[in-house]
Amino acid sequence: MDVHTESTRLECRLDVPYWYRRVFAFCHARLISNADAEDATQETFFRALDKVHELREPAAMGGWLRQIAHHVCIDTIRRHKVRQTWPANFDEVAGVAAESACSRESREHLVQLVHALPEPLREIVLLHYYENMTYDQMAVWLNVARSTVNERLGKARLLLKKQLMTENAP
Amino acid sequence: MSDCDRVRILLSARIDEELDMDESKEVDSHMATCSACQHEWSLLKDIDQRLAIAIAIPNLDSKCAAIMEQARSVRPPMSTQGPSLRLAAIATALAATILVAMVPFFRERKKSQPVNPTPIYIAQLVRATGPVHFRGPGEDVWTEIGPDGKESLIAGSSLKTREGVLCELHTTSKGIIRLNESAEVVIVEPNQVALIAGQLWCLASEATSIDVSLADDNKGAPLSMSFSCPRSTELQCVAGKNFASCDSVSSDNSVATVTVGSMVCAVAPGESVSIDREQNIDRQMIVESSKKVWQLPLLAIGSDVDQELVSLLDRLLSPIGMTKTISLNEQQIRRLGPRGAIPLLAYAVSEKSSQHLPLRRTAVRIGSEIADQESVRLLKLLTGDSDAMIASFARTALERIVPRTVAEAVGLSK
Repeated sequence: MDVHTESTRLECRLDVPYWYRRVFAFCHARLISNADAEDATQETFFRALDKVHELREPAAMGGWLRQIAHHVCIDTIRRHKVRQTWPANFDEVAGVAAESACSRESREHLVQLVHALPEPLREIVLLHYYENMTYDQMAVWLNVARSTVNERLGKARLLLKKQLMTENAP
Repeated sequence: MSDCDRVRILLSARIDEELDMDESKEVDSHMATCSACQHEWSLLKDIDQRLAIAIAIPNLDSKCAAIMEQARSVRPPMSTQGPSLRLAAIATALAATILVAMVPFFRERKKSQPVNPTPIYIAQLVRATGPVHFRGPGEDVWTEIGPDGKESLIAGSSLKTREGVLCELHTTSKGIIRLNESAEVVIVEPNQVALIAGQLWCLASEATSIDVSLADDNKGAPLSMSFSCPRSTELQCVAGKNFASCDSVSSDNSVATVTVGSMVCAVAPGESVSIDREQNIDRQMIVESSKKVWQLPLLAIGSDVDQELVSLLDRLLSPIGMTKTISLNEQQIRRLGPRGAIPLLAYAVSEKSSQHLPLRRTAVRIGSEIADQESVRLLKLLTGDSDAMIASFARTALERIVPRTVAEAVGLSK
């Protein structure tokens, strides 16, 4: 179980590789820009490593890290002009893509479409593909029901499919 | 729901092998005979494979190693050292091997070019009792917005109120946020606000909750605090120097939550939860309406009297003269000073029904005593009131406020 794993991991304090992907997904979903998300993830771990000895409940590690990451993202948004790639809506992203469809790699375009998803859907997609977690693990990390994970991931895929089909339509 | 509809709902979880055995069999057997669902499956499977390739973290090990290495050395604070400096420090510490690993990382940064620079507005300033200070994300300078300004805000915008100024924002998620005087917030998302200082009130829409985070000034501190305001719920949050509090100011509220570090506390309707730096929690039951007295001047803005103002004053004025609450509510209203007179007098002008007469008299009695020049128009209207007591209160106030010569000119002098 995830909680057991977290407790075990705590014995070696904070296991950065274990948590990195999900913290990065959290920051990426909020800051959009890869570079900003990298910096925010680093800062989250720096703050967490400073204070991990004060954490009272090992099983709360995930929620605690999310809270720190949340504050780091807010600080980043306050401090810098972030979101070089704004979370635009689908139509806007598709329009940009259509103009330069030949030159833009499809991979990059797909990532842009993910960025244009509503934040909860964006986060679940990034979390799922960065970390390859099970629905139960994602539910624990996000503090939502398993059915919510299923619903969000399904909805995100349908939105992406719909958009890609619209763009490819003659 | 047709078989196809049901199966298509399950396809996403089938791709992830998250269905139980019965559901998996159901999906598989249906697809064996349904070409349309097979096609849908192949489309989703294709997207899944493309996403798996597109969404990846390159050089994960070196990034984790860099964090651990940097954490072992003395770490400069984030606010004084930019990302590139920090990366340079990491690179120095890890020497050549990590430098090699960093090359694709820098390349990746260059790819992050603006795709759609058009800003997306997530909130709008709709009313204020005075000038409000605005700062866009990444800007250093505050810009003053006049009280009639309807500034639209993008994600990361900051707003600050000075002493005596209140303001109200509406978000695109249909939430309402009001700032008390001397408050500062960052609008992070339509449903996420960072409270830097002071007090705010928020009402979440029927569809979306609002998260209020407190600014973490001590960057290394583990005390991360946030308030979650559920849908159709109104909360008041205060960010003090060494404490934070959250008031659930309506009996119709859902249970809100406060998260402090790894601890989550419920805030019941009508309850106030206060937390200090040492994470000591104090709970009290509150009189909801009295907690909202500060909003009165804001609700009085506009040519038409706000029904919310009428409702709030009905609840505030009713106990006056009945119980000890008299002194509490009346004192709080009087503390607003002259700006508190306007909502009271506006209420008295608009509510003409006979059942409101006792409350109107109370409103005008208090209002006329704290009124200043700003209330002259309302007081003049009330001098013609059909109730002699109200008219008398208004005349007395005008005689106090308006210089005698002016009073004579408008026929107010005896």
